[in-house]
Amino acid sequence: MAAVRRSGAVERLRVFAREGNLTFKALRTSKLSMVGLIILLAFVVIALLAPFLAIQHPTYVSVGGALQQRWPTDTNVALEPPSLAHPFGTDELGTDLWSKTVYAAQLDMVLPFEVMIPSALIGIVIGGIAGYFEKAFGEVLMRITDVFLAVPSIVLALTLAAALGPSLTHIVYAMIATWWAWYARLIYGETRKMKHRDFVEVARSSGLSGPSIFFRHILSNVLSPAIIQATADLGSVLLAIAALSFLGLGASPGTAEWGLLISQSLSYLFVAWWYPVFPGIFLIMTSLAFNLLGDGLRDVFDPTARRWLSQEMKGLPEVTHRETPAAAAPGTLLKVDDLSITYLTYEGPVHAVRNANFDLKAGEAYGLIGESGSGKSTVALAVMGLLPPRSTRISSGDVFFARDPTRATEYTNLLLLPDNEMNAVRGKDIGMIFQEVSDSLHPSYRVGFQMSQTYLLHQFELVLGIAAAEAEGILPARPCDACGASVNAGEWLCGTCRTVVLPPKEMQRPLGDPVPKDVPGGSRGQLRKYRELYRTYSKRKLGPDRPPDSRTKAICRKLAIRDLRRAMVPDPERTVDLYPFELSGGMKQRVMIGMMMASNPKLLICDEPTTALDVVTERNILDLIKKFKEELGVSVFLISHDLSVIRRFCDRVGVIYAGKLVEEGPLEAVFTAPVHPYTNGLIKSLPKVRADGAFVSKGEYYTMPGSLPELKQIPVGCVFAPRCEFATEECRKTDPPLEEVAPARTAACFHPLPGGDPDGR
Amino acid sequence: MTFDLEHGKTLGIVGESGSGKSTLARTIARLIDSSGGSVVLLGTPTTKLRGRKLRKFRVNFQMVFQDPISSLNPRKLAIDVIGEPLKVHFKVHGEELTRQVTDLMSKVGLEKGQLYRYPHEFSGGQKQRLGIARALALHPKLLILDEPTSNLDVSVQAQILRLLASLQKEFDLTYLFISHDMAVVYHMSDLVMVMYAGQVVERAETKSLYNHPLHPYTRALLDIAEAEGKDLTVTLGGEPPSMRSLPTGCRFHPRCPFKVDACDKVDPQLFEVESGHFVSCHVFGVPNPPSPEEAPHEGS
Ligand SMILES: Nc1ncnc2c1ncn2[C@@H]1O[C@H](COP(=O)(O)OP(=O)(O)OP(=O)(O)O)[C@@H](O)[C@H]1O
Ligand SMILES: Nc1ncnc2c1ncn2[C@@H]1O[C@H](COP(=O)(O)OP(=O)(O)O)[C@@H](O)[C@H]1O
Ligand code: SF4
Ligand code: SF4
Ligand SMILES: [Mg+2]
Ligand SMILES: [Mg+2]
Repeated sequence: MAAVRRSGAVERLRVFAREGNLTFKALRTSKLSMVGLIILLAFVVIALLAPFLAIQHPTYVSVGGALQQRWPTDTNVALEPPSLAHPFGTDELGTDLWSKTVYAAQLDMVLPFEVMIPSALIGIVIGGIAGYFEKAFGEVLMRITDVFLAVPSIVLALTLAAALGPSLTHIVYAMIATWWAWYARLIYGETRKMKHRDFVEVARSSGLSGPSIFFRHILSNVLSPAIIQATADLGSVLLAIAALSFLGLGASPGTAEWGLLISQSLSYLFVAWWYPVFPGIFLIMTSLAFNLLGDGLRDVFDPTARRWLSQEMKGLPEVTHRETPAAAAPGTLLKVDDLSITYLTYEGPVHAVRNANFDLKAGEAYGLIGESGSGKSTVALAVMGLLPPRSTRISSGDVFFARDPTRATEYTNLLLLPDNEMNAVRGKDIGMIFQEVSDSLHPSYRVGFQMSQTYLLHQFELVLGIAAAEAEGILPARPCDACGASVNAGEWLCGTCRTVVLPPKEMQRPLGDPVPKDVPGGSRGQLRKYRELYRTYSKRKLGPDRPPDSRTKAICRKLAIRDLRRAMVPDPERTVDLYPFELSGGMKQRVMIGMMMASNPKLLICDEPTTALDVVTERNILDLIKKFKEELGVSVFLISHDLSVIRRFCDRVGVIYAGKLVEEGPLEAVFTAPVHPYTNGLIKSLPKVRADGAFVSKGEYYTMPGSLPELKQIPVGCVFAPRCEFATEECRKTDPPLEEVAPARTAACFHPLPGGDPDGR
Repeated sequence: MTFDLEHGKTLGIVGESGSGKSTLARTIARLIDSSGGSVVLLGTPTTKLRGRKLRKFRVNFQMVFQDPISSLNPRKLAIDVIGEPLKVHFKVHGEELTRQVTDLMSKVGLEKGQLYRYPHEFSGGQKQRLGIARALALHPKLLILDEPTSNLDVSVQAQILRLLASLQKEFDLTYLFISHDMAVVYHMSDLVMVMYAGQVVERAETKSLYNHPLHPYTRALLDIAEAEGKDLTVTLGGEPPSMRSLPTGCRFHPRCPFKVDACDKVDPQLFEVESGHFVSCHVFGVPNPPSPEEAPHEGS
């Protein structure tokens, strides 16, 4: 029994060591933070060895109960430049500056911690209480915090020094008094975020009390941001202490302290250049080292800033991308060719997608089904060029896209496009909607505002064309280009089909023309301004950072209402002025779809567009996408783990398992007669209420054993073999290629099922 | 809303997101306070319990959450996740704790080798198993399952459903099973309650509800479950109402194809159409309700 207990402790130690090792490994790959760590360690060594390194040593005398340093003086050697006897020179009293600078490390390496540790502790307690017991204490505590934040520490230190006399202790108090508030604010925010995580509710429902939930579950999760912040701040604290010493508020004169040394040197600056230089270098190096280490820690603990991963990428072979596909079937819009994607994590590479091949035809809806973690989103993000660049690696393959519909056989390799062109592709040619709508819409801006940002970013030519036409007053009554209905003078939106009708070509004077004398419906100044705007905007990208003027604003609003109406949002005039949180999930998804369809993209990628929605809303959203597909001819790439979603309207489906495309074919064929054992299992696992009009008995559905394998190594043989009831020796040895098994149907399996039913084999 | 749940049975709750299913679950699990009414479990009115007494009583009911990722503390090892309630309530420690946790893990299909792993080292389905093991640790009588499979794909969903069914038999559990998938609820429940905009619109035994769905909303849900990608006979337009501005009368009337004059004025009450089959509707919640074909239709 004791052995069991010991083995538990050993296991824990092992986990601890593993985590520590990973952290260190990660830290080591960030060169700058290693430099910081080495500098800091060097200073610690200097501080510890000061008695041995120094030439002269201070004596300590008690003045009013406090110990003060007294240094040997020798006026014969006052203000001597650096020499062998005095490597850093001497000060005005003839004391060796090397010794003072070295001894100062003892004080200056400890002082920041004296400030930081109490500040962080107070901050964690106050911020934690304010955040966790928000109702009771939040308001009061955070107001108090704000007051402390508003007082600069210099002022507080000055006051303290005036009242109690200058001393290092008082500086430390003054600094603590202001620094804690920063941590309180940080922890307050983090705690509030954590408090709403489900695991806190889980703990509550297991009957833990408030304080024990705070200590067991919240504290450990908010501590790391605090520690990271504190490490980076140590440098600033050191500088602040030096500044206060410099003002004469800190250490008593004669003490070896870097700030004080610099301060004392000022009177002799022109006769003794060396006096401030060495303490200054030490001070700045230490402070920088703390900053570097803090940044490094942030990278290690913050998964979104995994800068250090780029190191590991270097070991991987280069891939060459092709400009054009070897062959493409006519009408192909998107061709994903032999695409493999690897995520680099500090636990090693994850082979998320391997040798994926599929084509998407213009006007087609292609569905990708796969279990969560099978690599669906990775494929979509690769097409969109949105994979996190530093931690991913396209290890083979290409993504070809036919950008120009008039030259459908000319393909662009999206992986080779530079960032700015890819931005244009994302806004204009390919739209994407995500599962987490709340992440795609900014919570604190109105719907209309967010939609206008898209127009200004991706359709600024259209918006400015309209604006210029309006300003120039060249919008006569004319028929709509699209539906032929008449459009009134001054209008640019067809009332019937709601397409934008620009003025006739001959009236759109080139921008270089002289400004006409008489501008109908506007002033010459206005027109000049619009031409100017148009010119600048064409050169520089118009983005969210460039606020539109009132005319473009009105145009964007009108466009937004039009697009909301197209997405069948009820009462679009009211909805444009709402905030996202005032909309239901389905409505938010409609807004997103409307926004994405604004530029009439050729391809709409939908990554689990309805997973967060209920079945009825799901149905309506899918029908909306279907409507766009049928009416506007947009191709759809629909990703879901839910078979019924894919089944709604896709023409063809692909099945992905553990990063590998295992089956592909026309929708009905795949659903009624799957060929790959995995597809077959998926379809059989779907619980049904009725089959052939009769009730299925309760609990009667198939269960596929096992789960998705880890993708840390590329598996040998068929990835599905461990879960497959038909696996043979061959399957375990060789990876089956994706091959045609019937006309228009492919599967990667050595023993494909003839009709989907394993009993019919 | 009023309902009773017998020991050892499963009550399925369906309804769209925002219809109040999670709110109901959280109220019963006493994670939020009810604004009125009472919940009585094993003869104890839980809604009256406070503080320490409530924490003690929590051993009787446990909850499994929808999102397996966010319901596990990323900094706790599996053994601590499952072992925590045991430590808190039964003061189990040391090797006894390891033994009990290992036991629970094997019950939900996890291995002993996974005791000292962090949640992020488990797959989605395994995380949900962890959540279930933790909930089972206290041997509760009632397990509240809030969409336990909606973030999982079908192959894993089927495994979890099967696991839940076998655990129910083994531990004699009572389930409150929340889902928006009619087919899943059908396979899990003895009784089904359909919710719309915070109210129960239909409640019946599973067989009766799936054989003779009466409320138009239930019908729409079932229609979707059975259509398998084909077009529907009843399509519902619109969106569920926001809880801040509820429609007058029947809350479903802006979307209902069968609505009659009274619908936007009078709020229908639950009416027992057959024994044990309750419906709240002016058209179908009456003695001898018409079939949908006979009922006056908006389009016609
Ligand atoms: N940023 C990342 N860093 C490291 N690994 C990742 C990252 N994103 C995804 N992965 C891994 O890549 C694989 C595929 O993930 P992906 O998100 O594409 O799956 P998915 O099929 O879309 O799943 P889901 O249904 O859960 O969204 C998984 O093993 C996942 O753990
Ligand atoms: N913490 C909360 N504060 C305010 N409103 C809430 C809160 N949680 C849920 N609601 C509201 O209660 C209603 C029911 O939501 P919820 O219980 O989450 O439904 P479901 O589980 O069916 O998704 C929704 O209108 C939702 O906006
Ligand atoms: S190749 Fe073999 S193991 Fe793989 S799916 Fe086919 S039969 Fe199963
Ligand atoms: S009461 Fe009227 S509106 Fe409500 S569900 Fe019945 S028929 Fe429809
Ligand atoms: Mg995904
Ligand atoms: Mg819910």
